[in-house]
Amino acid sequence: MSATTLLLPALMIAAVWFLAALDGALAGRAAGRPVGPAAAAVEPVRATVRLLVGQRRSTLAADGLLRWAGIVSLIVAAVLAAAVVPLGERPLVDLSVGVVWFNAMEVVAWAAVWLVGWGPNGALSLVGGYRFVAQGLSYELPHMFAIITAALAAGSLRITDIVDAQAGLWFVVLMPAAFVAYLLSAAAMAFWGPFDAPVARDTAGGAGSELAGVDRLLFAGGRRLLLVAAAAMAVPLFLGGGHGPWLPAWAWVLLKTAAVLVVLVWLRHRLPTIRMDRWAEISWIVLVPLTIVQALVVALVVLARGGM
Amino acid sequence: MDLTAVLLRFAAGVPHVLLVAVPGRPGLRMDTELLIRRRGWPEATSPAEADVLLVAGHPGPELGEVVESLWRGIPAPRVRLDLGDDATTAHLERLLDRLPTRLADVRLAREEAIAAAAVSDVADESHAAPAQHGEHGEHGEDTHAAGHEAHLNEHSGHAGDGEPPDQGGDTAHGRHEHHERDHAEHADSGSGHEDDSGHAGDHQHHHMDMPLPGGLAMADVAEDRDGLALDVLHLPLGPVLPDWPAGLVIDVELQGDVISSAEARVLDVAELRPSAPVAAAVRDLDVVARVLAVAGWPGPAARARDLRDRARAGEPADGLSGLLRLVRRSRVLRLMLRRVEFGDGVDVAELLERRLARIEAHAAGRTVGEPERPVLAELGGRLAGAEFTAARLLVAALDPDVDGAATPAGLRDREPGER
Repeated sequence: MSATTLLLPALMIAAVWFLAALDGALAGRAAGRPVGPAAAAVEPVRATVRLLVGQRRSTLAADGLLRWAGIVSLIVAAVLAAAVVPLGERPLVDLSVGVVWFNAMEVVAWAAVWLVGWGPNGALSLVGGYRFVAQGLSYELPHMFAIITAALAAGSLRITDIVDAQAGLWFVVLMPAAFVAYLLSAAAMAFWGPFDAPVARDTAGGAGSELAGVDRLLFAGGRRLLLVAAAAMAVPLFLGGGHGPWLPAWAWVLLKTAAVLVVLVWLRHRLPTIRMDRWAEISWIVLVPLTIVQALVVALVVLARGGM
Repeated sequence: MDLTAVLLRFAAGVPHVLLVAVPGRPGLRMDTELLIRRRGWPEATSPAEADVLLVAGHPGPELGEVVESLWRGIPAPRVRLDLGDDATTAHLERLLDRLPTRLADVRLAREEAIAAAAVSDVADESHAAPAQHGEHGEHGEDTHAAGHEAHLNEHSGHAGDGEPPDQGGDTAHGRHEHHERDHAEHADSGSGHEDDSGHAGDHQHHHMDMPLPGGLAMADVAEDRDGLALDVLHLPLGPVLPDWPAGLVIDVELQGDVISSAEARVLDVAELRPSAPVAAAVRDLDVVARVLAVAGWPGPAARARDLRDRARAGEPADGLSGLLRLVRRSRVLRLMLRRVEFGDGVDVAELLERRLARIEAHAAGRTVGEPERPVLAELGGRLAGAEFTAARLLVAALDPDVDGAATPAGLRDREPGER
């Protein structure tokens, strides 16, 4: 137990490094200035060191406590969300309500980003915070319908039960619309491109615009940890968890998680920022009905199979 | 050689540069952008992210004040570079070459950390006298002795900014006096505290008569566009924001992220001495790069900038058709830019398409007329009711002519058609 407890954060940090390196490489390619793999691998380390030796910074009449509460809870929420993801056969904590737990942790990020945006007493920082709350309202409903569809097909909220139910058929085949909605919301919950309006360049970095030094490092790190947790959760929910030929379960989980991360990074550089004043409409008029219909279809399949 | 030195040196390999563009010096800005990007250094979006403050031109008094305020907000290790108006590429290259070494200097980093901390400890710092910079310390490379026109002064920055932290207690009163005087001096600029914070998010300035912590003004309450009572925040947008016209400040009233009223101005307009105008083909690519960057599409924005720099250097525009295709095919981009408009039926998507068509025409060797550019006074009034992002997109796409604003009366006086 204790070994796994340490293993989870270590794995997540490794995944964040992989994510950052891949992001740097794809950013260079998209900008027409390709970066070599070695340079791409070093740059995240350099960025980390830079922020570690850099000075922290405070603004006038800032609320340091709230800012710290935001930064810390972003990281804690990401790690706790990942705690219910099976790394091989078993997760760190096999909760009977794993799906709900994951969802609850992910919503903690709303408060976290809002607090980080509020804390420094800066207008652009606050605009970033506002944007994330609006974003949450847009992505959350399709997201909840998507994850609940997976639970519905397995007849359980326990993540390991959901993985077991995919021994024959991965849920991505049974519920492709839910999977797509989940992938989009995974990017949105970590305010990762194309849903990066809360930290966008037009607001000079939005919610994180006033952070320097270790504050900035932890905020940026927490955001990537959250993306890693969301990508890892796609594996047990839709991609068959550890199921797969030849390789052991943990290797499949790692491979599939990496594959989801690659898709998310690719998507980020493929698309411009999607703003919520436009996306909310699509989300509520297209994605919500789509995921509801998806849930209905899956429910009928479950009934036809004689489940429930 | 201790660990800090090793880490500083490693981190200094890729400095983040906050670029302050000076109105009337678009060429220098583009030179700087090119050289920074060639080295693979990122441009910082805010003072908090920056290691280097680079002022591309000689700022007038108003912009100079903003630069001081930005500098106070940059965390150590930090370096400040002030280019004169006539800085050449060779000078710039030399300064940038030396940057990593200067950032990695442990002693300098410590001094800077103390100076920066002193400023954030004392909320109501006095305005630093710019003359203090560069007079102290180890400036072996003091190039401004070479002549005042090629004024190329390097501030390594040190405690000259604000006061050292150990001067507590009895100097505080002196600061207040200084502050009040200072405030009275620029009270005639008519916009109160906004002048001081260049980075729009900062509230660094102290109002003596306000009771709130840090001396900040309480937000007013007024009806928003839907008739709901909502806080009103008075805020200057600019002059230093990513992908923002040089020296442009839009004083806005913000409710949430909706602008309820706005007024545009260009800093130091009286002192503006426009340099050679930028070629139309270069400017079109510059505008496209800005719109794409503000729209949150960094890859294509960087490619548009590359093409802009090629056009400036007179090199062939490889990859132009690829970029045009990519931008035109993006349905998501169109969805985001459509209906972002002044209410005249011309939205940002249409403005972008016009620029793309102009770029194509330039590439084909056809002559193209000047695009319509908004009058500054009109720009502000028409931003009312726009959301923050919409305002940013509109400013980027409309490209108000800050560099040619030779007379304070307005920006339209310049003769069109020059190339």
